[in-house]
Order: sequence, then structure tokens, then C-alpha cells
Amino acid sequence: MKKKLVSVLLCTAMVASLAVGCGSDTQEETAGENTEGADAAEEESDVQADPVDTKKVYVTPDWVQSVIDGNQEESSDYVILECSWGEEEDSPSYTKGHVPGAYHMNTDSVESEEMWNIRSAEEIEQLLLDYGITKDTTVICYGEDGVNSADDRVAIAFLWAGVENVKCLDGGLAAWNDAGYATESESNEPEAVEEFGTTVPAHPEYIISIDDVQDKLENDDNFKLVSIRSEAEWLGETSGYSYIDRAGEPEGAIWGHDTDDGSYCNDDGTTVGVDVLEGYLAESGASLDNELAFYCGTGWRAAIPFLIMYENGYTNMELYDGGWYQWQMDDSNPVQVGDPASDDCVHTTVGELSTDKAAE
Amino acid sequence: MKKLGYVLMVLLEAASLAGAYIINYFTNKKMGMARWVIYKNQGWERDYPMDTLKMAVMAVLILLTILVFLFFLKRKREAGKLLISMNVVMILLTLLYVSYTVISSRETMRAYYFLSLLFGIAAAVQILKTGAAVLMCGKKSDEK
Repeated sequence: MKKKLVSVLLCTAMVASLAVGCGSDTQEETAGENTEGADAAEEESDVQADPVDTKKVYVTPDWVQSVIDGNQEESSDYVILECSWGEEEDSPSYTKGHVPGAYHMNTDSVESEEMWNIRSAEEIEQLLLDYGITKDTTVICYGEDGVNSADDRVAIAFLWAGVENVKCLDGGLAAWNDAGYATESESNEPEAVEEFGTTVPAHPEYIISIDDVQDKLENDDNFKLVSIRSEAEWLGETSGYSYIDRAGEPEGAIWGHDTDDGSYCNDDGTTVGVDVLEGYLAESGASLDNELAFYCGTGWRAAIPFLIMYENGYTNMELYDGGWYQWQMDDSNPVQVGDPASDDCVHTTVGELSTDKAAE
Repeated sequence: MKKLGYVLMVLLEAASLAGAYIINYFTNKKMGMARWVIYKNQGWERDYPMDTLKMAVMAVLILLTILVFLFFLKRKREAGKLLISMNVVMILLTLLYVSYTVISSRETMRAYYFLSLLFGIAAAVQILKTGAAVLMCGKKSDEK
């Protein structure tokens, strides 16, 4: 009898705890805007750094600190974003200490659930306004470290939208900490603005759709679709994702190496130069002169080579945002499994692929 | 044997409710889990008539709950405290399942289908358990 009673009580407790768990929402603590009121910023700092070009994306911790210290042209209107997936309270790179004045940017805010592509122009514009960003605001993004591409993902979305000066802290928070600059842990809340200043997206040409990719693969010899995925993904051994069952690559793609394995990082965690990308392209007979569309699984990793080309003044590159995720959703899409340079490469369609290739 | 069956059912119920909590927790905390859940949602919506299934399961569980409860009321005099509490829990779990399924949605909660399914399993197990107990209670009183 007692045991049964305990069982009933257990069930009731479960229901009660679920009700609490399901109903929990994030609570945002708010603090002052930018560096005002931040303990870290109260420490004296007057870092001087060379100014950088508007198109320069990857910037040093010194440059970012000099912006905070008011020593750059950008100091008058800037926003720093700690970019990672999830709510602010679940982001260790924010809660454990972030760059003074930084706001948390949940990557879900820039990506829609349907295909994990960049959200609609209206949604992105509203997001920018909510964060107090106009086309003239300098946006400095950073992630956990140099390999993490959350900041690059946000950066490319904002460039696409029309923000003219977008930076990524090269090496991320790890580089910031290594440089010995201060952090703060309190939450910052942005102050919204009302006008962005231009039509979003100002640069639709930065993103190429799956339809255009298919068309160019068939009809444009100068067009190269470049996979920024791991070797195992490239060879069709794994999809690379727990939520994608099929492995392979769009028919006609070439391999541009992966960013997650450090192929786009120097030893110190900073981003490589365009010469490294050039070398990867040359392995497949492609070059920086081709029209290059970078893709990965859902558009994070591929943002890095795009931004490397962008900051070096190239305009012949795009992001195929849908990546393998969108490609493998249509059974009729042509696929290659294996290295296309080898005789073992299988040429088939998505519908013929096995569905046991999800990453564990 | 009956006792073992009862314990197994209680464990299944507890596992369903704990599973719902865990899935919801990790869907909110882990990007891979969130995307996997969303991918599954999309697949289910593509492959099955989710709205029709939802309505059908709700109707069946509500009907069964009412039937078991009516049987229980008929045999209320013979019922012990445990049977009363089993009926209360049955109604609560059915209410939890139905209200969650009606009020929530995939738009408001990413793990909606998973949670709805697990709440449904917990409610169904409780209905089964309570139904069996009510029937057995009636059997005992008939034998007397």
C-alpha cells in the first residue's frame, strides 16, 4: 500500500516539476549600455591601434579595445555582439565574462527554423533595430574562439542586410582573454533605434539560392560550388549532423576544407589569409578568379572563406546558405558520394542515399 | 504478477514524464538537440497528418478517461483510497495531456510533439492501470 502511495506521489511530483520546467522563461537582467557602468571599463585603458579599412573584417583585440577607449573613428557608434546559440543565460562565453559593453546575440535570431537560412529581410531589419544598429553602426562580432563560426554567421547576415562596417574579433573571446583585456559579467541591454537607413537586404548578391546554384552548376563553367565541410562529410562517410540522415555533396561541388578542424586558423587561433584559401581551391583546379559559392551544412562554416574574400576586396563570392541541409531535402537533387577525382565516386540522387549517416 | 505489472506501468509513466522534462530541457540548452527536434518535427509534419492524429488521440483518451471514471463511480462503494487516488491521477494526467496539446504548439515550444506524445503515453498508461484496477475491484465485489 505504502509503495503504491509513493508511486502516486512520484507521478504527481513529476507533473509538478514538468509544469515548472516547461514554464521557465529567460529572465534578463539589465545593465547600462555599452561600457558605461561596467566594472571592467572603469579600469583605465587607452589603447591606441592603427585604424582599419571599413571592409576589413577580422580585427585584433587591440583594435577592439581602442574602439572601446574612444580612439577610433568607429568609437562614436558601435555595438559589440557576443554571438552564440541559445539564450543569454545559457551562453558561458557571455555569462562567465564578456567584452565590456557587449550584448548577447542568439544565432537563432538571424536564422529561420525551416532551413536554417538567414531570416526574412523584415525580421533581420527588426532585429537590427532592436539592437540599436543602423547601416552606419560599426558592429563587432565575436564568438568563443577562432574556430567557432557563430560570429561569422552573424557578420555575413548583417553585411547582407546592409551594415557597412562589420568586424569579427579575430580569435574570439579566447584571443581577447589572451591579450589580457578586461571582461565584465553583467548583462547589457541594447537601446532600440527606429530607422536602419537603407533597404534590407542592401546586398542580396551575397547569398545565392539553391535554384541559382543548380542553374549555374549546369550552365556556368566559371562557377564553383565550394564545400567547407570536414573530409568525412566531403567523402560521404557522415552527414556531420545528428539531424541529417543522408551524407554526400551536391553533384559538381569541390572541396575547400573545413573551418571546424582549424584549417582556416593560424596557430594562434587567428584567421588565415586569402593565400590559404587560394591553396585549397587550387587542389581542385579552381582559383580566386572563379565565381565561388561557399556552403557547408547550414551556413556557419562557409561564412569564414566568404569573409576572408570580402575583406580582401573580392566581389566574386557568395554564400549558398541552404548548404547540404537544404540540398538533401529534395530526393531528385543530384549528389556525388566520395572524391569526384577518384573512380570510386558514386554519382546518384538524394533519394537513393542511405539514411543511416547521421552523426552520432 | 499483478504487482509486477503495476510497478512496470508506474515506471513507464515516470519515464515518460521524466523523458518529457529531459527533452524539453536539452532542446532549450543544446543546439544539436534543438535542431534534431526541429528536424523531426518537420519530418513528422511532412509524413503524417499531425493535426488529425492529435485530435484522434485526444478524443480516444478523453473517452476512455470518462468511461473508466463512470465505471469507477458505479463501484464507488467498493473502492478503496488507492483506487480513488488512481482515478484522480488519471484525470489529472489526461487533463495535462489535453490542455498541453491544445494550448501549446510547435511555434511556442520546439519539443511540442515529443512532449505531447510523452504526456499522452503517461495518460494512456494511467488510464489502462486505473481501468484494470476498477475492473478488478468490480470482480472482487461480484465474487463476494
